[in-house]
Amino acid sequence: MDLGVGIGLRPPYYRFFENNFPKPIRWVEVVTENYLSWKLNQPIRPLVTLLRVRRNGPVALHGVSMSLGSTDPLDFEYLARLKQLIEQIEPAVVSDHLCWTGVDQVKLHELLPLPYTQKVIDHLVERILRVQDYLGRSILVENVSSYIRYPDSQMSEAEFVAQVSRQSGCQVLLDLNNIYVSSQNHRFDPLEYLNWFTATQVGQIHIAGHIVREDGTWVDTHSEPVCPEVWDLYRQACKRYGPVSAMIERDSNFPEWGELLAETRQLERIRNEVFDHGRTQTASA
Amino acid sequence: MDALKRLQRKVQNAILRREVISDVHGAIDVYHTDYPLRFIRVLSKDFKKTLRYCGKDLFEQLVTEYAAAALSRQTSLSQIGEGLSSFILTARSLSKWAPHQIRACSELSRLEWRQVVAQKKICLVIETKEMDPLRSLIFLAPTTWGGRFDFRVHQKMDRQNIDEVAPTRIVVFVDPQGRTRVRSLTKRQYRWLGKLGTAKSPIQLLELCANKTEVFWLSAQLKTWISLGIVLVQS
Repeated sequence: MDLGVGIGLRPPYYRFFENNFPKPIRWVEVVTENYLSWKLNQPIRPLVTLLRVRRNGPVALHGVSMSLGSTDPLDFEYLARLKQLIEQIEPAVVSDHLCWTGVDQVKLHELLPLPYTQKVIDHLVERILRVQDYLGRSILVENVSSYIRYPDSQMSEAEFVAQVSRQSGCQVLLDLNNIYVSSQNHRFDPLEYLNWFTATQVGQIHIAGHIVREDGTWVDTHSEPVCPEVWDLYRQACKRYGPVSAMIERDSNFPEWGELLAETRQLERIRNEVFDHGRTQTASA
Repeated sequence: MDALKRLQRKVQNAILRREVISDVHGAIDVYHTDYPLRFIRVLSKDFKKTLRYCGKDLFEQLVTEYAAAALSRQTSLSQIGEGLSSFILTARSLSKWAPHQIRACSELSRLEWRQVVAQKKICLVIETKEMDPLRSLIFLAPTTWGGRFDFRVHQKMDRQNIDEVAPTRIVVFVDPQGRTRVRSLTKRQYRWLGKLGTAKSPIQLLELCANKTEVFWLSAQLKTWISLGIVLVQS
């Protein structure tokens, strides 16, 4: 399902969405945890705002706490609260990350990468299926940016993510900035990464900015404008996968609304260029 | 999955103890830094006065020490400030302070945490469909409260007013029965209560307000309010 161009909706931008969605934005994604009640059945303050926004257009719920790759048992208390939120919001998409966030009930609030092995794929697939079964709907899983890798890994990250998607049947939320950041840290070709996925496997695309630390480590911060290399990657993704919901993620160092809007227009422009060109070629053939 | 569990425990411990381990290659220090930074980011917002009391550098040291001691077990960091006040009493980073300074800092952070909790509860009441607690306050006669204090609830109070600019000078607090209370203030009363922002401790605040006729009602009430958690809605 292609929802078109979207943004990650954060509090500084709430007011632009309470009456309608400003063009070219056709959908928004929110961080699930910001709208979850502390306990089941307890109302939570920002939910009222989200319900108002939801009246005006589609909303995607993007979580950071499912910890699908952890060896702790799945947190069904968390999933129950998520399920309740899903019933209230009726989101277009529910997603989380292919990562672990802690073990022995500790929460590191980090999206930590996993070793890329068949055993870990089996572990993830089993948990994704249980989550989907419990929620009564499919979820999307996102590739994370990584600063570490495990010597025991038996395959590339791209192959690992593609295999999880293939074996679980769930689509991938492809974060192009994460691919680019990890490609710089671990020295692989980001374009080759895209080739591991078919159009039907990619359910959504994230675009964001990053920083480069003094020691040369690339860090996914969502605090900067999208860089030209990630825009290029998006163009290639459009060519490869066709129309897919895509959005700009910004989580800190929030720009003026006009600046963010300009990035969404750029997103739309690239989409249109690629798809118009594709249509022209088909027509002339 | 035993091997994965062992690996995850090693990596987690390395992140929490800021260690480098041979089981992973790359920049694990990105995660070393991020964990306490998240605490600092959240607690700097919840404990603005404690931050000012300690100074930025010392506050960050304190929170980094707290982050290592108080492991997060919730999906959100919003409750992580709960133990800061008691932690301050034994924090190594404040060991050069005089005991009365440490006690004051602990008390100040306890007050601020009560404010955070109260504010969340109040906003819940304001923003959810069940507006009854506030509506019932509107219909209470001022005499119900006793004393000379006259109050009214601002009719236009809603979430946006709380988030952005409040419509009037209001004090919102939680009473001993755990009910939400809302009172509006005169300019002068508000100015005095506003000294909460400049006082270095709740004790100093009480001293500031003591024996001032224009705020005599405040000095009587303040001690209770402080222990219960005051929320100031700035105008």
